[in-house]
Amino acid sequence: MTATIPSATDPRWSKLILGQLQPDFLGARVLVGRLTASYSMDPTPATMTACCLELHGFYTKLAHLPKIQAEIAKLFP
Amino acid sequence: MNKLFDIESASKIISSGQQILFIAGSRQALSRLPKGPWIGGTISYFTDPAGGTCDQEKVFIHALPEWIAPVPRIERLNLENVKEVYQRIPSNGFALTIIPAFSKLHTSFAVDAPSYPDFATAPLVGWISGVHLDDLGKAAPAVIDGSTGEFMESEGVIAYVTLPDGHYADLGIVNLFRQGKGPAIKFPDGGFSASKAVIDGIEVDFAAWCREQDIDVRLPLVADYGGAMINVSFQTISADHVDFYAPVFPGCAYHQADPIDDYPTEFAKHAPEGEIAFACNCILNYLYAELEGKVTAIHGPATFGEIAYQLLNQTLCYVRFQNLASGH
Repeated sequence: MTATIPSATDPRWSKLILGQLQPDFLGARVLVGRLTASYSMDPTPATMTACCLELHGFYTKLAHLPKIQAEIAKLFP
Repeated sequence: MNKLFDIESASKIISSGQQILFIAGSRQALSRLPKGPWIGGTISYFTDPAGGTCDQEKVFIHALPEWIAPVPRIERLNLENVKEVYQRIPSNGFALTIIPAFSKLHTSFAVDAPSYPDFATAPLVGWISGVHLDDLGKAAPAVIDGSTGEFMESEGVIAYVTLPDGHYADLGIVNLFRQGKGPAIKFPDGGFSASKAVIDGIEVDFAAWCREQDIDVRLPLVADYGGAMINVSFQTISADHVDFYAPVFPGCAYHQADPIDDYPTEFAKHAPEGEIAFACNCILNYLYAELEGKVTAIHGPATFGEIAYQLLNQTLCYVRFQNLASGH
């Protein structure tokens, strides 16, 4: 079964950027690290939107991987 | 595989037509190997199954398993095409790269990789080649394309590997360091050196602060990347600035790591399960944890930098192959 990825505007993406949710997949973690640093440097809604969009694109691209499917199910129950 | 071989044995393996080999060794050792489907980098330190060792005569070999049938694409990596590195990795595959330490490519990749298009969306693993520590400043780290036998000191070498359907490459790291309880350290400017830092909200002369605190430079600065502990290792504390072995990034909050009591024992507790196809560990772990003669759970070269998506320090990185259907 393929997990459903929420839309890029889902507020839960921002929780990952703010450290309120944590991924397990190493690629997601290093990307979140970079995005969190970007948002810390420019904490505006526009930056958050861009960060969430990039993270959404990451999970969409890798959605076929079992680890990512499990992670999506865990992060977005 | 996944151990040191003398030149005669390594030459037989190369000549046997084995699937691509990733080889680490001293320049003189690598130069004695026959041409073939392999890439390599210079280093003289290894965590071998027999124990950590410095060896200028033997070479350490990792090989792709035979079930990976497609022949990998070997290319040079330079300041131009490195920007496309994540995009060039096969959609069902991974890439292994070796980059010479102290080269412009090393610096460029370290600083800019997180901003390259499609960063972290494809598995990129690898290491930074080095030299024997007695030769620091005298010999240049290099990489070699085994198909031509040519050494390169300013370019990297990369193997793009396509996996059979149903498999994927799983990258992982083992970093025993955790953020200590000391103050949060931020840097207004990124890069391999820092003169200023903001510590607990106050801008300070970072080199002076390090001296005042009498910090142990064997303990890296650690940032929390979404739950992954990412190190930046100290190189030197100069009069007016501090040099690192990896760049610091503005916006990241760093804490100096707590000490690790017994690296081999702690490492064994955190060693990944399953068959490891490739691994490398940091030469600083080799030196500071005094791994010479000690047996560790994962084996490979002890390198001047590790790559798992991005440049890492004082970290072991590894690749294992997993099945898409089962996830194992």
